[in-house]
Amino acid sequence: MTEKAILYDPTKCTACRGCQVACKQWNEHEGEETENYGTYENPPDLSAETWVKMSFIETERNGKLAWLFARRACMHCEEASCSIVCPTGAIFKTDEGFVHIDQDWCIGCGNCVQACPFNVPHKDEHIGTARKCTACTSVGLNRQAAGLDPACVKSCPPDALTFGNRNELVSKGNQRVADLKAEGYTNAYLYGEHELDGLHVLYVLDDSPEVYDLPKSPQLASKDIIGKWLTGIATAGVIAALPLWFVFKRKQQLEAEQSKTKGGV
Amino acid sequence: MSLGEMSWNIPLWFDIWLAGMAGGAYLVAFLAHQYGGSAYRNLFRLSVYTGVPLAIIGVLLLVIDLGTPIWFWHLFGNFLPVAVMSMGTWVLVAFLVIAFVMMIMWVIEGDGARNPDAYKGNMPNMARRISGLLAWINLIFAVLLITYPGALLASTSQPIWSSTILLPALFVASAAATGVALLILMAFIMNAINKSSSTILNSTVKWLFGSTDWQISTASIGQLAKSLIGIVTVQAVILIGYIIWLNASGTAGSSEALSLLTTGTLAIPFWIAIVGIGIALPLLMLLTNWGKATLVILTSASCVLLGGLALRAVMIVGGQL
Repeated sequence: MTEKAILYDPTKCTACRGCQVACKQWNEHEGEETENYGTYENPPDLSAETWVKMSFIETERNGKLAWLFARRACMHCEEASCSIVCPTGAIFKTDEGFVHIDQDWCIGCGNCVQACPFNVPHKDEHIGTARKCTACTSVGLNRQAAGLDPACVKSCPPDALTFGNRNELVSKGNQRVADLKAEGYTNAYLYGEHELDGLHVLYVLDDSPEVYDLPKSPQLASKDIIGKWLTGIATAGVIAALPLWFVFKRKQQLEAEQSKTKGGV
Repeated sequence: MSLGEMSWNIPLWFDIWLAGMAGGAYLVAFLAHQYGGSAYRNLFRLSVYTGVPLAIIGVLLLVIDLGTPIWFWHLFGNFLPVAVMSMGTWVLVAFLVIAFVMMIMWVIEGDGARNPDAYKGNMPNMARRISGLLAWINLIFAVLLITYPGALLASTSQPIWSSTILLPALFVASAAATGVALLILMAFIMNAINKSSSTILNSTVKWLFGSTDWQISTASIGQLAKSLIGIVTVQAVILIGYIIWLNASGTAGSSEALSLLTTGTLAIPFWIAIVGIGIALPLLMLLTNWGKATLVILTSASCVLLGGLALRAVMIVGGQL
């Protein structure tokens, strides 16, 4: 099966948040009661019931304020930390490359919540399981199986979101990045082409990832896992070989030798 | 993020504190028995009889903290070596099952010594050999059990946990220290039971230990206190290494994590509870008295236990702020 992806181009995005609403509607998620905190951005974060949201970023460029938009949702990593740390094997990848949490097998341990480098999965306090964007492949609500684009992509008025074959979208994204560079955006970059062995959500960035609150080099949660186990085991070895050996073996030997010497005299 | 919104919460503090104590006490008492000989036989048995219930309480707390506790058995549907929580589950099961079999063997051995006619052939002797072999095997699982919580936290994307590879080392040292502290406190409790007039308590302990002589000697308690000095020193060295590594790491979020611990929101519990009560105070008390006064030993052990809980609480909260 061909790998699929979603391409997001913030330079075309108007932050209408139609994608947020479409996602809520298709997945039958409730709206969240939030309080205004001085920005149009709402809700403040992803949650078990908010699988996609727009972030508003204010930054300075050439002495002028730049108002940037970023889409936050599951990045559907090829090397997915959530899937690797899941203790029940409930998180798997579809043939198209999208990461899915099996709601019938997840136990709500929260490990994926801590492991994701993009802070995407959230534990549903009512259902108890971890939930996140499925790229519209949820059982019973599978748009992709029906030959439809994900709801967010379908709803996007300025075509800032595109769904298709990953290879084609990488080419399209790189072309757009080349155009941006030619226009003077020297930091333009296609985020997701190589990160974590390739994401299935690609971003055309007109600036460096940090400006868009994206980790510059996201790491797999299980990186150095053997070293981490070994430092713990080695510490147990040090404790066994130094303080415990000295107190329970060597010191007793010394005391026995001393009493022998005294006895001899 | 408030405490209520964190996906890993108060039950996890207690789970890894209790499991650490259980595995740490096993590690220390087993090696004391191997190094020091039969004088520490009762101490080793005490570590198992005390550690197993504590580890079980820890597991129950962890299950309660799951989003869907009734589906906890899904953990047993797979063996996933890279998934630390999956490994931890199997390690815990192995540790508890082996410890349980060891306890049965000890009871058979003790009963055989009292009523040799009740057993055919060489059964009590065989029980002794089996428990001896299992004790060695469970040493491996005890070490893995105390390494697992640190490895679990370190295999995430939270800078305070994952920026260095020293968190498992820190938790192992703390587990060994709290294990010794637990053994000290339990030894005092056991000796108090010995002096008490309660027949039920006395006969239960005699049955469990398979011997009428099950007191933990003052000398053994003194040796435990001395080992506590060494283990807490190792913990202090690792903590300093962890702070230096966090400072030098340069990975995203590591400097914020360092500030959070040492000068920020968690600075007071870090310096007072982890460093002051958990490390400096017991070291100071034990070094100045070299483990002779009962009060010094009891206070130091209690401080180490509190410091161990504070370490887990501060680290778990810190990773989610």
